[in-house]
Amino acid sequence: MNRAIHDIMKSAEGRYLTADEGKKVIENARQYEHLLAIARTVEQREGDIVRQCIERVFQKFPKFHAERPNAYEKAERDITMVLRYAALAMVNRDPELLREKVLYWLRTILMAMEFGEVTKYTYETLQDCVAKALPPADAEELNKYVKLAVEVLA
Amino acid sequence: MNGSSLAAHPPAGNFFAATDYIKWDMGRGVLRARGGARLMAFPQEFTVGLLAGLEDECGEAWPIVMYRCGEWWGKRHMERMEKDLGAHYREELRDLPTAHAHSSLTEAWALHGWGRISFDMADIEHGVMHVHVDGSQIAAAFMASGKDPKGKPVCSLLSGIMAGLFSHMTKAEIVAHEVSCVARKEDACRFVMGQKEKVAGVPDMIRKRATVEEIGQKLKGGG
Repeated sequence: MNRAIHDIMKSAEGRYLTADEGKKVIENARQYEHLLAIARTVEQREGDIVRQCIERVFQKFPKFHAERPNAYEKAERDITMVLRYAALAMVNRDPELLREKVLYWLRTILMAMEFGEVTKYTYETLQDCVAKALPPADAEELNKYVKLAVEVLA
Repeated sequence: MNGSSLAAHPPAGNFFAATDYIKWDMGRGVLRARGGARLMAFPQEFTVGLLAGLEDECGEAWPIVMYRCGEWWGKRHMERMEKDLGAHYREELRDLPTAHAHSSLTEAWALHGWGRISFDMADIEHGVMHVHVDGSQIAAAFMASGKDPKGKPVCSLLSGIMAGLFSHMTKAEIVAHEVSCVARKEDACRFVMGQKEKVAGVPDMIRKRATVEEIGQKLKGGG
């Protein structure tokens, strides 16, 4: 459930919603249509966003690519996963969804792999690729969540 | 993997995300894990009571009983995780990269309220794995009970679980020993794990109050 709606419902136990709370619920519910449209665009452009991101990362860290078997496929899998869950979190306006379902878990894996600065650069680049692929306002919406990947994973 | 295989097999995130993992059936008073296994939550007082009861009944042997319970449980838990995670990631747990398997174990451990576990593989070539647990529920219960640890680490249930999990995963007889414990005023609960023969001397070192570093050195063949 949308995080703001969830919080309003949770705080309103044993009483009716105030007019202001009711208005916020409606406003949040109305945003779904717009946010779903952004997510649809992301879905359509996912291949380009992810490919451009990987190409830039491999250009910046050529050894990383060369030294690891199936590096492209693994990068594609991980970046796609973060992008998809970021889009889900955006639709729900729920940053915790992204942190809990992907980022904390992925952080443990990436730390064990000792990817270090590659991780930070990858998800900063993903933000940039999103900014290039979507209209500015839409990119800003999605990048609020992609930015969490940089914060948590790096 | 390419775009079409990503469509056929979407990359799956954390199986143990709290929002999806526990299903409450409040009408029946039943909690179930994502894979269907029944769960039960219990407060710290339960652990305090369990420790007190075991000590009454078993005396000095209570840590051995806890270890065996943990070991049994760890093996079954790993069996279930293999099934659940295998379905979730469409890959056998033993075929997942080590870091991936450890991350899933870390999340499972945290989700069930056992604290935050981390694995240090630096000495794996010497046949030893170091494990660190922050926020051990057992140590917390022990301290809340006001009992005296008598200089011994108290998280034997956790040692047993680790041994069970890794014995099942590696198909070898893995033994875990707690070498430092917050219940005896140390900064963290730390464990060493390895094949039975490899870590056989650890209990004696613990009795002699060897430090974590000394035990580590000894296991690496030095000291």
